[in-house]
Amino acid sequence: MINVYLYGKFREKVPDCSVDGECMLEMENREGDTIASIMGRLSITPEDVAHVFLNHQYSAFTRPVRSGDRLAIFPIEMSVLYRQYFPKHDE
Amino acid sequence: MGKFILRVNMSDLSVKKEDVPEKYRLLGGRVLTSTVVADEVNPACHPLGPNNKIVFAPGIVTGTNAPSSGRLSVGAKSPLTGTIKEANAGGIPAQKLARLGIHALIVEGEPKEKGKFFVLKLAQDTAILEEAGELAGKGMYDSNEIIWKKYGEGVGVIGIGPAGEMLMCNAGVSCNDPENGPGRYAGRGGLGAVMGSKGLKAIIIDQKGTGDVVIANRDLFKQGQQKLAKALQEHAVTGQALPAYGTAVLVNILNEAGGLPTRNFSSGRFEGAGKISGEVINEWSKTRGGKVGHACHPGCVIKCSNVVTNPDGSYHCSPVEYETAWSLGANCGIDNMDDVAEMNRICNDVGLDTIEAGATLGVAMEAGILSFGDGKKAIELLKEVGQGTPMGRIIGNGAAFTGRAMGVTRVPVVKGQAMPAYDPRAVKGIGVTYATSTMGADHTAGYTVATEILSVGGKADPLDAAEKGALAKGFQSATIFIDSAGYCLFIAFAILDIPEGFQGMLDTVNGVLGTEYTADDFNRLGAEWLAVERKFNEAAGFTNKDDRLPEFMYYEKLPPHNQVFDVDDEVLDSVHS
Ligand code: SF4
Repeated sequence: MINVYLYGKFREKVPDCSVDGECMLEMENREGDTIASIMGRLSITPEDVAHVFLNHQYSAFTRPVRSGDRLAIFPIEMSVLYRQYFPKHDE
Repeated sequence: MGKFILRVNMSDLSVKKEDVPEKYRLLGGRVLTSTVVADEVNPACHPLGPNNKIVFAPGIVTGTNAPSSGRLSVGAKSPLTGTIKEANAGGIPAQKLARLGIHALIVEGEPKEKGKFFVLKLAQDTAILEEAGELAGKGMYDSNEIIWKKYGEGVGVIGIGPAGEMLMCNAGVSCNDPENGPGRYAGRGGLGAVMGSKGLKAIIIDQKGTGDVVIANRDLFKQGQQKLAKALQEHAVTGQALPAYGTAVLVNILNEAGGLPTRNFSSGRFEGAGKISGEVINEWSKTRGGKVGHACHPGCVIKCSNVVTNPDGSYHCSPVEYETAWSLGANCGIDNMDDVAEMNRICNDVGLDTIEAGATLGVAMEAGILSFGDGKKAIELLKEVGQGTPMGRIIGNGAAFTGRAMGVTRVPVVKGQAMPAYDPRAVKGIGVTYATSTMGADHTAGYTVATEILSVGGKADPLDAAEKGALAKGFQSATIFIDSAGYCLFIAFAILDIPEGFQGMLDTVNGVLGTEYTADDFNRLGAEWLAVERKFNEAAGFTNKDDRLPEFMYYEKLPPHNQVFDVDDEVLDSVHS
């Protein structure tokens, strides 16, 4: 299972998401899954997304995901980070 | 109306109107307060003695209808850091000061009778000092209420709470918002104590009967204003995220990035982050009668401010910002938003900077005075600051002082000022800004997002140390320009991403001043202005050796990334070389 944390308007994708806690979806891990494929299953396109963190690392959509991973996805309007301050992991 | 400088001498209680010297004519906001401080204040003086001065200046375009431009800069030598200091705030006073024609207000000297407080009443053609009377000793909520009753609804108030009156180094300067809440603070660096040392409880500004501020080229200004407003509305951050979630939009983001300082900077992850996030403030605006998309002054189009309510829907605090939700929340291990709002309210009332207050509580928790997560005890401790108990006075003097009083070594300060809500071991670029800013640890000193415009380019490798030095310098120059123009720093998201917005910002400045500044001047002037501050600090005894992060950050690994701060000293030194 992959734990997908959704923020901002993406929370609407989680039914009964607790507002003052975390909006987390447990998703099945399929062979060859990447951040992009998980996003695809949630109908989230790259253009909709500001930042993605895989296990707290600022990550490219191409990164493979594995069972037990924590994936956090923020919508485009939340692109408030100092972009240059984080190393982006793509492996 | 023509502009003038108002000089208030608290030693003989005189108020004088002076012509604006040619050298100050094109300056405003931060560069003006810093230049006056550099010209008139002996860098070696005691910050709370008669030779320090406190300077108030609206920004260059403040008072016009340029969007989000109602900032007030407050400057002095800081009692917290010993450096030059500028802190700025929104709220309603700055636009009114500008409309009265006040280019800068300089307050100097000290009252003959210690502990006596005055108010300065400003209106068209009048400036009167009178005794503060019943206002002395009052918290800011009561003070503002009394002032609106006595001097008229809608007047601007710049004031200090009991912490400022007691000359505590974490005292801020409050500006009132359109509903007369005191929550817009020029908080950092203890400027409230400097105002207190002058015996000035409040400045009351009535703009009745004033005209527009002078604009040299109205057509150019108008074009610029429209371009900028359009960019702010179009950009996703300024047009959507900030109005919907406030600055606390950053809580979850920094937490996921592993850079949210937690329990006195011992972790970059807080398990309770979701409960103190912008998403909660947004939800409460729907379910509890709170408000998001609140403007801290008329004419702000971004509206990042909010009103947080009690469970029964009554007003609790406005605004709760990212830095505050973090400092009084995650940094203290507290995940109860109502407790955070209560602490925020006490800080606003007593007159404390919330960043420093939360960092100080974190240090006190580290010392075992109270436990991490104990919101109720933290509330009591903050109340003690307003009461002036011995413990309250320790806490009211900030994180470094409290660390020393309690024998704590993990004290997150640079030049005596507490770090904001980005742990530099996870967010290394901002660590360079903390270390090298002229103000002590300060996120706003280099608070911009896009790199393209700063010629070092968006392609910069974030891990390249040399690039980091250049980036930090570029950011600091850009920031001082925005601060001086009188714009809210949050316009940076839009102007650095949308070229027309950037041009619009420049056009408004050129329109007001009649200048022809270009993007090159933006960086050049920013760098020149920073040099003024840097020179003051050198004369006050600061060297490169002070441009360092606290030692524990070089050897204590921060989870979850388990990184230390490993930027070389040479890189830090290159920022201002
Ligand atoms: S964006 Fe926020 S802080 Fe800035 S002027 Fe508007 S309401 Fe005030």
